[in-house]
Amino acid sequence: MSLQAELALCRAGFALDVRLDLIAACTHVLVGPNAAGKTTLLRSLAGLEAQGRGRIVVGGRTLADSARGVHLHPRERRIGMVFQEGALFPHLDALANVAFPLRARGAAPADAAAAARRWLEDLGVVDCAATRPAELSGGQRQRIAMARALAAEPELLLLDEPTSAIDAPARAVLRSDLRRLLQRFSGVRLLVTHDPIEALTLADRLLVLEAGRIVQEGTPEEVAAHPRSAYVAHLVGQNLLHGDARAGLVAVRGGGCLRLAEPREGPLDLLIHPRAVALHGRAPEGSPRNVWQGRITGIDALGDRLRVRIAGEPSLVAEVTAQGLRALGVGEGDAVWVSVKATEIEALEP
Amino acid sequence: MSPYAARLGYGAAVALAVAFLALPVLGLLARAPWARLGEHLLAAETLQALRLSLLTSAGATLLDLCLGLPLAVWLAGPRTTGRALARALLLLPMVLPPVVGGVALLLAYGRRGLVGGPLHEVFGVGIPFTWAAVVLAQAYMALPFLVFAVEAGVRAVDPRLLEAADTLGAGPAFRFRRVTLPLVAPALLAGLITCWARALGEFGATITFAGSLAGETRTLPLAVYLALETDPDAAMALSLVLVGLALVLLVLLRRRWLPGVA
Repeated sequence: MSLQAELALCRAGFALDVRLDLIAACTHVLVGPNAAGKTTLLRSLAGLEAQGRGRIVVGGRTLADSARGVHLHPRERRIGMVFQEGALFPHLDALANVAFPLRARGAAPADAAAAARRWLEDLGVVDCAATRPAELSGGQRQRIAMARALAAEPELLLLDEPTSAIDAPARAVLRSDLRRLLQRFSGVRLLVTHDPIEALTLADRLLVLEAGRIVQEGTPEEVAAHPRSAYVAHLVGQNLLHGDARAGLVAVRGGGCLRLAEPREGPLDLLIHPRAVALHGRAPEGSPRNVWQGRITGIDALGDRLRVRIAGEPSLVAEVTAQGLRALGVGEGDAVWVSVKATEIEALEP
Repeated sequence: MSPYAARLGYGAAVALAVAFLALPVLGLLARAPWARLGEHLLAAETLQALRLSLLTSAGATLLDLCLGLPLAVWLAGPRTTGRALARALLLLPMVLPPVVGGVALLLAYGRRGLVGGPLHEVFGVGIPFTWAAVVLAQAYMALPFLVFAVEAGVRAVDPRLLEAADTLGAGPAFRFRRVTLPLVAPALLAGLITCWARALGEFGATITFAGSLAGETRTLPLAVYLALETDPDAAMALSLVLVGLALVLLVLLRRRWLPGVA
């Protein structure tokens, strides 16, 4: 199973021109600033937008091909779409919502209900079976929307900012559940977000869309290490480390040890913004924080700031001003002291 | 003007409006022949007119449901010249004097009418001055009330729900039955009730197109008008029946479908 698509369409003041090559069992995350065309791209794949030029092939099946006049109706595409805020049917309870695609294909009511109940169990929301969407929390609604999309047994799963309408604490829980749930769907997965944490933690591959074009593509680590635009640098050019915590001390995979602001246990993903990384010519003194020595392996200019890549334990990227670096009197190949405040490290359950 | 005077003037205007609405009902209640009410209500002519009114208005509402539901769904689509024309045609019964509506119906379905002529020649069927004419007159005059209510309901359906249904593999019929219709149901019910109320009260088009034959086309409003000449007490009793029916409708509407009124 895979997806190949070439899409080009023009709207008032906006053009989308994209080539996609997505593979199965891999979460592709599409990030980009507002109005970059993320949702339009997703809706085009689902057949919900007027056809532009290009073609879409999923698992060898042509869903659209403007050259041959093919444009399958959304209902014939076998694409699961999880809309922003879920778009659950307000007049149906959770069970009937999930049974909807099964009933639409002619399943008997009892069979559809039994299958829908299994999906709700799978996603941990079986307690909500008899509840209508208006009485559910945002997180429950999104889980049910996901169960409904999966119950249709799609070949391609599209998620449009699935956590955007949810408050922050619930979002963290949904995010880690989402990762687990996505991994169990064996088809092609494409998720749209403008939340950098979501992008970095959920993505196997990251695609960056700006002004209607894919400007960068790669693993989160690759993209974060070499952001090709200021937008990418700001939003996803963050340091993402993996480690195991014991009493607030994280042994970073690949070497090094970092202290967190609060005691945590178990495997963790650590996010450190490059601007939170300070560089020093000598070993810094003062408040207890994470300090180590590294070597500058590269410097990239991004607008008025410099991204300094540092090899060490751990390796990461610092973002400093040109004056700041000049004052330190260091350059590529030089040794440098690195410090990060414990409070600047965001620790996420993987 | 001082704020106090302004508030006084405003209060007086509201009181006047409420009085304007209440006085006719009060007049009817004050002058109604309460003592002989039962006798009037149980009179054969009254029961006959009531039965005919209920049957024909129910028939007209059913006919409007069959004609109006598809029309409303279509009208809720994107603006086109065809839809603008249809909407203008639909507005006509609302703005025409009902008598003119009756004349127009006569010219369409009468013995020498556009459709009525051939119908009479080929099948020997005549529509005017039958119960069927009553149903047609009521249905014609009441159709806009149903269609405009349902159209607003269809427009209010979140398009993303329909898109979601599409991506979940629902065909057009399934989607309509399981998504559109349940979401439009409150508007449809409100439309049906106002449509029925309009059909029940229909007078001008009915008397023009269907006449006033006792037991055949003489509905309650026609009976009220007729009785006013011969037996004013009976007219008042019949009027009370219509007021009662209207109140029942209002309560039905208010309870669930017009929360703003409750």
